Amino acid sequence: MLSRTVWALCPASAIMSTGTFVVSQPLNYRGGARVNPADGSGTEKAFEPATGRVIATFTCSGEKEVNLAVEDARAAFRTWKKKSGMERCRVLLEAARIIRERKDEIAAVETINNGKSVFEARLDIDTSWQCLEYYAGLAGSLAGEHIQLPGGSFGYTRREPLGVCVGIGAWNYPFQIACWKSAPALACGNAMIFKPSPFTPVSALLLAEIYTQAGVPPGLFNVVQGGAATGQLLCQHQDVAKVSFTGSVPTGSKIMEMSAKGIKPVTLELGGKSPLIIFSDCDMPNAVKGALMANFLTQGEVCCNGTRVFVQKDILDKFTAEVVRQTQKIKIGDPLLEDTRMGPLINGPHLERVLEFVRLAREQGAKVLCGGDPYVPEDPKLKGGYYMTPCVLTDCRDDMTCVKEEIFGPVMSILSFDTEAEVLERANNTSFGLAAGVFTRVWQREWPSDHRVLLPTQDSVCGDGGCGVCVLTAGRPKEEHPGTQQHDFQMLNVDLGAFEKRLYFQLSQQGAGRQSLELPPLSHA
Amino acid sequence: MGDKKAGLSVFWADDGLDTGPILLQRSCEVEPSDTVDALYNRFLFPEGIKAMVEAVQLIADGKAPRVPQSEEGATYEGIQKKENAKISWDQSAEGLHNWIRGHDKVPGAWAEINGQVVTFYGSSLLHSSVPPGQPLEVKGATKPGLITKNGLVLFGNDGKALMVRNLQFEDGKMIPASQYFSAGETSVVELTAEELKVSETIKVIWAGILSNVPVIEDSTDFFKSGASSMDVVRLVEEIRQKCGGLQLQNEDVYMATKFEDFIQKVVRKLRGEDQEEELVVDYVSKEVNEMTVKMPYQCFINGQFSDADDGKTYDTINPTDGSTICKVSYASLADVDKAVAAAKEAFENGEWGRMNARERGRLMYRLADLLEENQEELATIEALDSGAVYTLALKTHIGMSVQTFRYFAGWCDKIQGSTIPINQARPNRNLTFTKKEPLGVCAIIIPWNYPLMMLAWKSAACLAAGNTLVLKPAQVTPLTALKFAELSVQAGFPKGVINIIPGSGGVAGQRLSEHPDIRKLGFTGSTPIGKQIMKSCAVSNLKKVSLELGGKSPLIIFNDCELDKAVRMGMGAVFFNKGENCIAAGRLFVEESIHDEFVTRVVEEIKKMKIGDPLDRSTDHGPQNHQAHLEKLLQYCEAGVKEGATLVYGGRQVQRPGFFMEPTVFTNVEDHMYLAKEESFGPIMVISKFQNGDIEGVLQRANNTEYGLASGVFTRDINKAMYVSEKLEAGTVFINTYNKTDVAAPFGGVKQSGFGKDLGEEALNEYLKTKTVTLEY
Repeated sequence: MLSRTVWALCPASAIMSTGTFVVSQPLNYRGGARVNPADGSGTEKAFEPATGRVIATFTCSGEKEVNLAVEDARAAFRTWKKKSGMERCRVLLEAARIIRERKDEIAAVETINNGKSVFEARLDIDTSWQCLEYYAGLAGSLAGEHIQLPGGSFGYTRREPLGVCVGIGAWNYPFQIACWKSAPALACGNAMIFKPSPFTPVSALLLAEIYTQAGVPPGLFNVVQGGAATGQLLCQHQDVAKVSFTGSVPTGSKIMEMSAKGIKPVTLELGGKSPLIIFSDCDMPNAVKGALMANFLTQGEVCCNGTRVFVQKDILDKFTAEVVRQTQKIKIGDPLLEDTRMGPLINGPHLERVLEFVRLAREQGAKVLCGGDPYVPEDPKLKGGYYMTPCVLTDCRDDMTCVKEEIFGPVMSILSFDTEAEVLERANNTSFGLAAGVFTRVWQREWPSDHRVLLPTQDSVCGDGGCGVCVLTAGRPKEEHPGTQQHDFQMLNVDLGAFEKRLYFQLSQQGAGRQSLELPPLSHA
Repeated sequence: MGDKKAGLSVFWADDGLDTGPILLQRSCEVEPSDTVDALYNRFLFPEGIKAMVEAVQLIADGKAPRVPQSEEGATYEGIQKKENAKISWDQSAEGLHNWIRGHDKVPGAWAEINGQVVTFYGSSLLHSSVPPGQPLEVKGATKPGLITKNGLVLFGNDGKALMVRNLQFEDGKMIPASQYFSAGETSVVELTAEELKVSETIKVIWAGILSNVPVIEDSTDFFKSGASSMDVVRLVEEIRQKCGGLQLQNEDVYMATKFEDFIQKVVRKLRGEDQEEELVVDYVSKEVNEMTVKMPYQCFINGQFSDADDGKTYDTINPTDGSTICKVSYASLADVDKAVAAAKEAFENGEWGRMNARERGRLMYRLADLLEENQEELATIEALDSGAVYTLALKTHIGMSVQTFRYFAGWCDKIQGSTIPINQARPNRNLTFTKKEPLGVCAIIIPWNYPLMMLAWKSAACLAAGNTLVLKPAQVTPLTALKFAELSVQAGFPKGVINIIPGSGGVAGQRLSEHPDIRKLGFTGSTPIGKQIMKSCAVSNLKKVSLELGGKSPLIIFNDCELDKAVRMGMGAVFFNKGENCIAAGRLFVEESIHDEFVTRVVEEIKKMKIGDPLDRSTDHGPQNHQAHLEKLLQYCEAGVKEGATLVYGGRQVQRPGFFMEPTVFTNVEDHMYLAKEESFGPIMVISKFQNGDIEGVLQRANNTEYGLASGVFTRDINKAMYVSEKLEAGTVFINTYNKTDVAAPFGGVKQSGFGKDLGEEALNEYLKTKTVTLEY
């Protein structure tokens, strides 16, 4: 057995309770310490969504601050890139260890600032340190190629770090995204400046402090706070070598445009309106569970969610009834409580936006089977929070707004279909392409983009795009290099064009698959 | 009792005295530790059913024989009764052991302790020395028993000992024998009021997770009720939150899926009873190098240190003064078989085989950390046992071992196959994917020149790939391997994954190469032994083999080199680690115009080398590994002189105790001479001259050997360097450097220097097999 960790009787999450947390320290990080920005362009407030309380007020970084952060990162890069892979490996391993050790505390902070249940937040932290460990292991074995040429001549390739990379995070998985972006970058020898979403500025600072404690040179991982203006300064800075962004499609498009001016490579992990196809021969309990997971984790604020649930007609009623029954049982409330399964949405405007989607759906003819209303928990301190009841829509048509646009909230749209050919065409009729899921027992089904999908014969679920396993690449990796399926190479010079599609299988629970394949928590931006 | 064979008979029905003619019989070997229960599970039940089926078929086919039962020597032993199972103490330890296991579990052999009938279960003969413990008076016994960490030690009238694991009292309560004196620590299945509360809390947690199950009953199965791996995490986390911080592992849930079993597991955790037995290690301790070194000296099999099966030992010698360091177990054939069986069990049924690759990586990282934390002690042992110069041992022998484990730890979760587009069997479609799988039980046999580092090079890749292993260190240098075994337990490696058996190549090594349950053998050593091993591997079961064998590596020094560097590196190429280095430069080809100056400067430098105690921090050159080796080196020099090579320096044993050899230089060595052909494996520089500018000539001479491990070239001309490196027939070419190995760079030879690489990603493939899966849909 792996050694048992002795845990304090009172985990940190129990010490922190909703309605008490405030941040008074500076939220920028530069040169190995928290700093106030050298200049600013306005201030922002960060909220505790569970109560609506302001937990931090901070200045958005201006040009001077961004320049300082880049300069600082460049200096750190010069030291860091000279270290051997094995040395970088050890530092990242140490950081992973510290994250593991402080899991409860980090999860609690994440919950307070984001609103997701602490139970889910802890899973996020697990996939965070695992990501660091994984890339730590790669740091020592990055290899190029040697190419033999006629006459004894030869060519060879080296995998070299790019330099100062910018990471821009989303607010749904603040800490995890910071780890997923920085771990491969740092493992390959880069420096990173990370700009969290202005809604969730807090937890990235914990990561910065942990990196410093683990031994990265000061400046290697800097945090700059701010909104679009700060982001623009980062993307357009001449000494920034690459930008990696997770967030919405419109912002992604802007970032790509800004980066184009400096011909900076970008990695964009954007939105989705992913189909989840339920065939009538599926294992019903499993399919219901899958549909709930694919729509309601982190209040539905997940980019790879399977929000278009296509159900074969002959099981539509039964499936819908069961989904509604279980949806109504989801416990909404204080996200720091252990048995809460759904917390508040990120903020007031976003809640309004999601409720507006439900209203519009109703107007366009969809039927609200449950939820879709604002919710006020009994606990008086939660009165100002941004809660809503999880919503199931039926009688949806493909042309409705709720079916076409990313809602990014706890709203599931159920659509029915008759044939396989029909559902494939409808499933692919979207400009998004992040994830897709299928529930069936039959092997011979068409995969929703003209690639036949293989499915095990029993109880199978082709999980929702396979998020949360950090070995697998999320999004659209752009590389084709034998054996390179990880983010890390996106941080490197060699960056050739090709899509990679990832198929993820969850095998039967009875089968041997139980031990070899784990259904990952649906936890990722 | 003590029978070597057990059996079953199917006989024709008679009048009830069981004397009818025999129809069919089956028998099996009884292992030294078999109990009645073990025999039932292994033999009686499965074979009995098969025998009965066969008997019925024989009767149906009219072929069933009627063999009359012999009346001679026949006895009738009825069902054993408790009152007849009392232990008679006037017999040998083996007799007692046989009695106890012969009654295990029903009716159970017993004795009186403190006026109470206590029944003994789980007996094994104690082969190692008796561990410390607290005496326990047993009525009738010749000598009081001992309650130790691992169980109750009992003694026979021959003074030998056995160990009993579990004790049962009159009221039916059973405890681990080790807890006899731990008052209050009961391990009955009954739950206390407190624990019942915990059980209720957990029931509520289960109900919360398994919302589709109306009532959680004792028989409710977590997974059959629809839970997934995410629920496992939730269960573990909720219990941690609500049960006073109790930390379960995900594995615990998978091991106890039914509610009642799960509660038992939780309660045992709460009571701290699931703790692994503490490893009992018998050390030889020495005060040396300003520290106490504690050296295990027994075979390490299935997570325990024990004497060889036949009790044999041999002396391991300190080459610095010829003194005996300690006696070390000399593994017998039986020990090899035990070790292989343990490795097989660990691979097929143990936790190791089920563990996620990433967890395997974490164990290896931890082991690397432990090696690093203990580097001074390990380096000291290496200095004592192999004569390695301490400072070098710290940096290379131990330092690189640490690096090797760390490097391969990172590979564990990156071993993956590929998906391969193949021609479709239209109108259907096909997909092929490959999986990289571990081979199973691997044997590793390593030499004495870098005892721990050779272990690390092979074991780390082997373990990262997911195999289990049985490793035989060189007979003359077993001690760091055994210390490593101890650290592997501390790191948390499950028992049986790593087994270390010190002993000879002729006995243990040969058995390993022939063993039918071993699927791969990794060997580093001499070419003749390598050939013998490969042959045995082929004949026995076609084991996969990798061989890292001898070398006679050429080092070519051109006149346009940087001479200072060439002298310094050339000396390192020969004298590093006393020349006991498989990639050592066995022949130096020096271009005529700089030949004399090169030789002069080498000799000057040699004179500055400090020969002495390897533990002395200023020592450059320590003793040869063992006496026989030193003698071989002296003969080698004699042969050189006899054939007419010029002995420029050294060639003699150093006049001091121990096995020290002077660094030696020969020149004018011609291609036909013994010195030019054979490997010395010692501090002997063999120099041949080549004509100015004769690149083709020197290449032809350099390649005129059956070896092909390493090679080197010194020149400032990059074109020349690249040309020579292309033409040299060797696994490694060093340009303007030598001995520069790294954990990420593959290492291994060509021609008769063997095949298969250590280190780097390539080493993993030596310990993996590829499975191709093709499907149609």
